[in-house]
Amino acid sequence: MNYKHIGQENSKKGETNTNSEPSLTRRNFLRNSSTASVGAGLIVTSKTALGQEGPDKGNKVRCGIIGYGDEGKALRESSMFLKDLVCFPAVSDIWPRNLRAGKGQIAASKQGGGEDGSICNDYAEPEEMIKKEKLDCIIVATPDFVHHKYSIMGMEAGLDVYSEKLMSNSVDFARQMVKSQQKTGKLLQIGHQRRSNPRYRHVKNEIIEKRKLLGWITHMTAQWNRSRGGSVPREIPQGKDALTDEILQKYGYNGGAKGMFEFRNWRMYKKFGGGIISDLGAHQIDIFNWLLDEYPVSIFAQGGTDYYTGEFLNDLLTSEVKEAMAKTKSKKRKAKLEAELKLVEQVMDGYEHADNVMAFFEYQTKRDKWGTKGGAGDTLKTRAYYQVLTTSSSQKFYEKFMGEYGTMSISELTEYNQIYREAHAEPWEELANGETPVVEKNLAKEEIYHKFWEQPAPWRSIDKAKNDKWLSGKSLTDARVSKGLDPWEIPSHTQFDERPHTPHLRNFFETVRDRGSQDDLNCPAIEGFRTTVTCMKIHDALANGGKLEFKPEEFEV
Amino acid sequence: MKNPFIVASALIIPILVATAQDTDKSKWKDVGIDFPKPMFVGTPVAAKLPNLDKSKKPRLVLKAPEGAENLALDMEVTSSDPEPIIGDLEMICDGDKDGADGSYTELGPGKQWVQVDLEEEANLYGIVVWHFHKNARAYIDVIAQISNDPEFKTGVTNVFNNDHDNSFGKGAGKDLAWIETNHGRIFDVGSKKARYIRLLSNGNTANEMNHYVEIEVYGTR
Repeated sequence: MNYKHIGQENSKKGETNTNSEPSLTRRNFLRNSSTASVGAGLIVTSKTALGQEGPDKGNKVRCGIIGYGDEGKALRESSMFLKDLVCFPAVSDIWPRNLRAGKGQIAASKQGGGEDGSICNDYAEPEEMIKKEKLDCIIVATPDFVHHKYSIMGMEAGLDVYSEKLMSNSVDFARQMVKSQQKTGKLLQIGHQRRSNPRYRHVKNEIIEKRKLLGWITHMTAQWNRSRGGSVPREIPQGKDALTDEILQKYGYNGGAKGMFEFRNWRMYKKFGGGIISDLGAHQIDIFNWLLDEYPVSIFAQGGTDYYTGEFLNDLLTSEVKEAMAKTKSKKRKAKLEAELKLVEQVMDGYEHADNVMAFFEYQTKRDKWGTKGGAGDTLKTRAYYQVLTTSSSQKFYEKFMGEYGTMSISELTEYNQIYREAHAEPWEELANGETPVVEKNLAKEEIYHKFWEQPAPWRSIDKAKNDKWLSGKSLTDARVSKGLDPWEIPSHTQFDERPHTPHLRNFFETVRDRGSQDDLNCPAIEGFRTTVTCMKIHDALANGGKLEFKPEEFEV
Repeated sequence: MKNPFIVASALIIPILVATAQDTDKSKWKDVGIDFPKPMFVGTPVAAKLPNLDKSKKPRLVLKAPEGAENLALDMEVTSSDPEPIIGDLEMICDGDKDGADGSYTELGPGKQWVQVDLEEEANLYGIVVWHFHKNARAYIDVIAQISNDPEFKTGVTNVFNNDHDNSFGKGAGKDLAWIETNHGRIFDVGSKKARYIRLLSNGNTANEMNHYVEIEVYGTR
């Protein structure tokens, strides 16, 4: 699977394009052949421990979870919709608080092993879980810097692996993961879950590729703006929830209060994570790559640790504890706060990674992809801007694709799913027919949904006549002010009631169950690697301060 | 011997006066609930309930007679799940309402309750509850009850009930479910006497677990 930029010779990009729904993927083939096998009385044997116990013997994938923090928990909860497909007979976490939660929640929700799903064995050592348990696969939901360690450990032990994104905070570690996958032949899916989201898949397959409703996508923007409340460091646990220095240091952290702070706030540190570009940006930058089926040719970026400096955070954390101490009337809480103050006073760390990033990418695409008459030559540009902030949640997070015929906003947030037709584009009315229309028009919902100022909803609601006049272009203040775009929606049949991660997990577990290959995965390791390369280059661009080129070989393992 | 009528009056009149003050709501004052800072993180999960309050206008004021305070602080908390999965029961009435990870208690899945013992009967005016408010979610079948019976078999009054389909068998409630925020939820009690407060829930829209960050009970002794 060699990647080359568009226009480079011997491009084999087509080999990795497994995202087109109508095509006969290996997964579809396996499903069909599996059904045929049952009908023919053939016995499908298990390659590992698949379904050796439990109520759905022979069907359930046995998965161990490594890392039961927020993300491990989210993946377990997302799998509540997949109870017939997967069980979690074991969980591992180095932190007892997470481990207690994992064991308790899995057992209580009957997602574990055993006849009634109530058995979940807990392991402080991930390695011990891999060795002792009869598993088919593992989920790796640890801090970024050990994704490779446990993914490779799992694959070498014969297990398929679902690793959280960003694949790693090191391109070299990510490359090692791909090589291990190739060597072992095990599955390695990376957790860029939008690739499995029915809404995103509809947009890619139907709206952009098949119908070409946006035409040539000339520009893409995306943002993830997170509030200060969601960006300040987490508390330093005390008492039974504190890790010993021995454990902290064994797993790469400092000891004492500083080590516990690092452990709880690993996303701040270069050693442990990829920063906000990994935590937030990776999802959306991956969508840039995925929707275009391309990787950028250049980047420049600005950003830095402007706000969450060590001085600021130390002052913020200590003052918050002092404020709570002054306010509380609870003797028990006051004692806890006094102990907490002694801990936070020792921490002087700020964000090592940038706390705000604004990055510009340049992509190149083939003219044939769009069928456009614009521009010149066979190679066309798509320029992209990405923004991630941690001091404001203004407009939250979404991706926006602007083409010559239309503009589309999409997000995991269901309120951001609009598509707008340019005045000169062909009519879309016929595409809104049938049970599964390509686009929808629901005028009753316009006031709610169309928030991106393509149509001025507040004016319309106040003075319809004035708004109609504005839309018709009769009250323009400038002769070249454009007419508002025609508002449509991404159709409601692409909505789903499951969690955002559920379809991506289903894709992985079904591929494990059906004994599929990397090509059946919606985000195989090589794709996750290429997004890692794209994202980690942002850090280089921030340090460099200028425009950096991506070389095609950077996207190869 | 003192006139028994005078002795009786001396005992009764203050109570009558107190009751008059209690019931004259025009004289009630804002108890001044101290709300924690907002904290929304993570991938949001859409909350779909038939009885969801979509007003998005938080109620910030609970009024009660002069002198009303949070009687639940540091009081004993018991539960249908005596060994919480995360946290401890005592954290539910410790004054820490923060949305952070170390501030909440997680009970098992499905139908669960927590109960606060005020140690003696008190005049109650309002209850405030903060479930888990770090992510947007709504808790299901929330009922708030007061009673002087620790087993809640007799003399039970429902002061809030959004169990619209009577899952708990405590009667179908018409109150609305709500999306959790740092503003918690205020339940009016009116002016009633009770020693015990019990809050019930049946999981939430993000998962099947039950969580409590803090319960406050405003009243006078």
